[in-house]
Amino acid sequence: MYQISKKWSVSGVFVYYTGNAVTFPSGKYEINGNTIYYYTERNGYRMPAYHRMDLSATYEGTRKGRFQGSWNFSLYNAYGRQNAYIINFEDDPNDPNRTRAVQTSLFRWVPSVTYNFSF
Amino acid sequence: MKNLAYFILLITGLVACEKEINIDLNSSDTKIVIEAEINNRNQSWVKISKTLNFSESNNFPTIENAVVTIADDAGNSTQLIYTSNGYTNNGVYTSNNLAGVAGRIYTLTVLVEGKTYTAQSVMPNLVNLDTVVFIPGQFGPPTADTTFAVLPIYIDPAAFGNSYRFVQTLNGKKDPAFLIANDNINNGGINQRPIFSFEYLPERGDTLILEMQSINTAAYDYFNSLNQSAGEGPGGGATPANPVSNLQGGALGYFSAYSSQIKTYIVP
Repeated sequence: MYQISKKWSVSGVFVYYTGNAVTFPSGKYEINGNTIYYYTERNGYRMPAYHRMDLSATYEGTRKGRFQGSWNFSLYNAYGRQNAYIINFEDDPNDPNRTRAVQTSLFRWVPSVTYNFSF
Repeated sequence: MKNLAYFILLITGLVACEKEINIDLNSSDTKIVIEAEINNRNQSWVKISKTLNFSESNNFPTIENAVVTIADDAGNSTQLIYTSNGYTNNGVYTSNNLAGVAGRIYTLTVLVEGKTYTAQSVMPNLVNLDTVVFIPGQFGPPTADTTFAVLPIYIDPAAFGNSYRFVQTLNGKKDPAFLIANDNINNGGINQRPIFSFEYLPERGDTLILEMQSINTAAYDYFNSLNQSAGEGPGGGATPANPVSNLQGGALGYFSAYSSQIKTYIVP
């Protein structure tokens, strides 16, 4: 946290995780018209690394006797990275001749505003 | 207040996205894949193909020069001959001289590229499919858009260890899903579990051809482990693994000897 003026302070966090060990296919074959994936190395691959930066700024209001309020403006995942939550393998719906890996990610930028009040 | 509503809408628009990614997947040695079935209505087919690497096109190579025989434990042995007009327009090995009998043990032998793969499968007795009930997927009277779940009515035999597989063809289109059931629950009772195949839900007026197979436990284990491993994401499916196969010698796939019946229904 860094106090940039009497009422304003800013802070930030950078988080980095290496990916979990996962089992991905090493090949594919067909059973009854379905594409089935072939696995050799259990836990032999890693999910992509997870990283994000959160930034926030806090404004301390004027103290009125016992009452003190403050406003906090923050941005979760400041550069909006699509961190992989799930990775699926499927036939490409646009081209049935190929299979592809698709990732699902949860949140990109999530801004928030908080008002704190103490007495 | 209106601005607040837009603000919330903006935030929810920033959640959960899907995108295609490139992953460097290892390649593996090619394995032989054998799908083999024989039933009590003189139908038998064996399809032999190979695995591909993930990034290759889905042209799974078919093997045409294998030596395929099915023998039973009553001293009969028949070779299956390759025909290119078989199942799903790709080549299969078939014979019109293999009427299966329930209770016999069938042994499959495949000689391909210098290696031999074998499997054994006992053909179970046929369990009769009495009728089918179509259960509407919504409350209230069915409309033209209502989809139905298919409930096969059959009485599971009192002995434990019966497994079933259903193959449905809806309006001429065959459902490739593996729809299986067994008597771990409700052994000896009237079946109460409908078949539910998400992309093949019948509607009023549809024609459903339903094949009900009595399969053995090894075949059930294969299809069950295949289904489990294909589930996606957290809360669905297990850690991916290759299905439990009854083929010996290192081939992927299965050999299933089963008894079956086929009935046709029009959805009312």
